[in-house]
Amino acid sequence: MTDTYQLIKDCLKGKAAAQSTLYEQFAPVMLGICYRYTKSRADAEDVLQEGFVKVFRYLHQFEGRGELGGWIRRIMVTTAINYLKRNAQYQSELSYTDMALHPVSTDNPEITVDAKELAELIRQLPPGYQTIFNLHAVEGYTHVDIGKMLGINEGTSRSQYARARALLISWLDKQSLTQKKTSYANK
Amino acid sequence: MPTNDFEKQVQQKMEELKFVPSEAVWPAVEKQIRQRKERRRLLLWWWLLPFLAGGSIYYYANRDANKTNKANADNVAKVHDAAIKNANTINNAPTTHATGEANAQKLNADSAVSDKSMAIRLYNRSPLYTRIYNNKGAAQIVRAGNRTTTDATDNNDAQNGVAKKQLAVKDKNKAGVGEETLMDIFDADAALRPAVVGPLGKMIFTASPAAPPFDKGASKKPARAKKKMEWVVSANTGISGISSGFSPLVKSTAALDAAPANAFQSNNGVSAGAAAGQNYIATRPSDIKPGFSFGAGLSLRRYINPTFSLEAGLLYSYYSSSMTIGKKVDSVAAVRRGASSVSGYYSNYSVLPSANNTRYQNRYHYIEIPIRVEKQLGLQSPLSVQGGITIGQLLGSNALQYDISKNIYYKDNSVFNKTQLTLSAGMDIRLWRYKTISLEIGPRLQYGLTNFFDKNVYGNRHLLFAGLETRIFFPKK
Repeated sequence: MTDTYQLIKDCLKGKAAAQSTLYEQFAPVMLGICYRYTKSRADAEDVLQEGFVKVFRYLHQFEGRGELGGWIRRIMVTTAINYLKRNAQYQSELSYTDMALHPVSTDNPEITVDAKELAELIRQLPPGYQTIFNLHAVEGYTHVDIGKMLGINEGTSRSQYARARALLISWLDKQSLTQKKTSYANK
Repeated sequence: MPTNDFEKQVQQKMEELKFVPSEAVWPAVEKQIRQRKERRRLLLWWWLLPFLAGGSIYYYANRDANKTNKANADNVAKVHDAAIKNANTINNAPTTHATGEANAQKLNADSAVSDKSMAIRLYNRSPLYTRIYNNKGAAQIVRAGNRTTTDATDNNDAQNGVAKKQLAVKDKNKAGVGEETLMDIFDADAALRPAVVGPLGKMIFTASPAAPPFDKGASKKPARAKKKMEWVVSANTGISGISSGFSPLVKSTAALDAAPANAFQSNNGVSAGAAAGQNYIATRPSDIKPGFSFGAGLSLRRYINPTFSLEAGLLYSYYSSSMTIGKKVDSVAAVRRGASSVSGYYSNYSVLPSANNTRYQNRYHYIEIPIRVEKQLGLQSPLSVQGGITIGQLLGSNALQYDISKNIYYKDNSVFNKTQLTLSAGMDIRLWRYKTISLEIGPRLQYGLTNFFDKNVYGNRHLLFAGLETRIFFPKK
């Protein structure tokens, strides 16, 4: 904590070495977050870059109440959402239209795929589903919060999340089945 | 298995997700941070700009005033010599105007002014107003008619000198003032000009608050059109004066409309014709020079439509002016006006170079409420025009007033109209904008609608201000 405090202090003084250290410390995890929200690595790096500029710009506002990582993470998520809203490529697909409530799946399959494979599956979701799934399942935002962030109804968020979850579970099941078949074949 | 186990598994998996960013990312981040720092530095310089501009205006205004003063001082010396000559001529010249001579002698006796030719200050302005102080100390302004007069310090012959004295006495008698000393008759402007130790300078400023942590993706729209309400931090700088015209902003007030050094009174009653080197005290008060001043404040702007807005806020303004005075006088009987708050007496400055001459800074502190309307000249135009009114309240002042009868300066804030209503107009150009924060700078002109001083004492005198104003706008959350 003291190291982090000192690092922040040095960053605020404008020390390039400290800024570089902070970036190196958090960039890999943050790129993982950006990666989940976007469809390409280049886009993810764009978000990462924009996010880190904000981190250094508003570092003086970090009050040290929570983890610095958590604070940076929130900035990255917000930056990613803004990026999706701005970017024409995502804009056309980011329609959170109201739809009939999809029954919430109670399936809780065990996830056998590794982190990167799961991230790839999440990225294959339609952008609207992908964003809501990330915000709710991974970041832990409530549907009320998501509704406010995206400017949609809470119900729409719930509905889209349910569909995204169901879709992802079905893909995981397929993947799991394929893995089993492969493992049997190997035997 | 609990219902949200799937989400927990997803969270755990995603915590493990890490990628090494490509090498190009950090240099790009670093570059943007540095650029931002540069912009902030630049912004600080923009803040200083109005002060630099105001300082320059003040410097040049003062430089001109100094030149004028120097010229005046030269004139003073010349006039002084001429006065002595005239006095001698008058004394030796035979005259048929017995009454006039008698009056002139009486005047001389009353006023203890040895220079007869300078007995009266005459102005060729029309209408002519003459200020006469009666014995009760109350100031009266008496219209002396439409006579055309000339300065008594002209190269007049003895008869002219005497005739003018007669005229002065006639005027005085017409006014019904009765027995007055020569120095009691004084042109309103000239007598009061010294007391018009008005605020003669002014300015403004700005500060940038922290921007919102996240832009909400709306940077493509014009910043002004987007936000209904904006905070405005402003700072201004410039010069200001108090007069019925605009000239005091570029010239020292007294030099503007008074012939230089019209009358003298020797120090401690010593004759003007005394030995060379005598430290002559001017009966004409010091010129008032425009002073550096500034203001800073915060206001709130509301857009009525994308190009039209209303603004109101709170502003602190500091005005100042400077003049030359003599040494502090320890004991002086009450000044003519007999104001209860009178304190701090100073003698008038010495016409000749003297160690007792000092520069005195008149300071005025105001708290103001500006109310403005602003029209942007087109949605994308960086230009806008504005106008409005400002209500100001004098918080305090150390300004000196001049008492013609005693030839001294004294402090008396009761002569001020403490509440001021001012008209303002200006133009702005947007120099810088980043997302929803923008910086504008432009000239500003203000004119006081209310009299700066008690009208019965000094007549119509209004506050004037010309300067530059810098404003920074940022959205109200």
